[in-house]
Amino acid sequence: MGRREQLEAELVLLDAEERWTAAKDARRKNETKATLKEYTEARDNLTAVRADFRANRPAREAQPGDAVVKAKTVSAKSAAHKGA
Amino acid sequence: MAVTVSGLYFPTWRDILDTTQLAIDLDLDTHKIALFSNSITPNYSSDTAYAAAPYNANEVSGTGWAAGGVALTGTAIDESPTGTLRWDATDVSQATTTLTGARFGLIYADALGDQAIVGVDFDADYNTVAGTFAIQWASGGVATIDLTP
Repeated sequence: MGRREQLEAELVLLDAEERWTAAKDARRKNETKATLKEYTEARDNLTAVRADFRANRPAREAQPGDAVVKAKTVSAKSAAHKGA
Repeated sequence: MAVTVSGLYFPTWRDILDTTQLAIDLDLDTHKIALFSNSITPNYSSDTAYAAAPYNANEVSGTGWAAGGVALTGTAIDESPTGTLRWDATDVSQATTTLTGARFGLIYADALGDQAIVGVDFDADYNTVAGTFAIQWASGGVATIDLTP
């Protein structure tokens, strides 16, 4: 992904995050069908945009003095069901 | 003493689900992540909160990263994969920091009672010198709970 495409992807992600933040705030202030609908749609949009962004994120150029933690997901897993 | 594993904190999650009905809204953008060195040993069965042992010592803070940590924004709950509850957030990026020995991130409910929600083992010590401290969450998000066997 070139630098331009990376910046465009970051802007799309930022837009999705801002929409989601606004949708959460709106629903907290007033629970209506409209705010619930926008909440659901904004969340679905954000998760899709995030997934795409992370899948195509280029390796970050290491800058002196920086640190980048690639955190692993903290997974609480159930044991496999063994049946009777 | 050392960090060896990540986890969800039983006392908090119990209080969310039982009669306590601890009102932790994981959609809030006010939960914080504080950094700690490898001198702590998290106990996910008994640890309760930021500023309570062992999170009352060995905190990593410095220029650009105050004690108490930074807010986790863009938090969202969804299902991913099927049957699994995922809690996700925007990647953390704090510029112009100087930090030494950041090994562990404690995510806690800053707007409530500082209850410990999730502990994240970074698997190595991280340092910055007037640089950006970033945490990139994996595609699986911050934390997941598998609701189906």
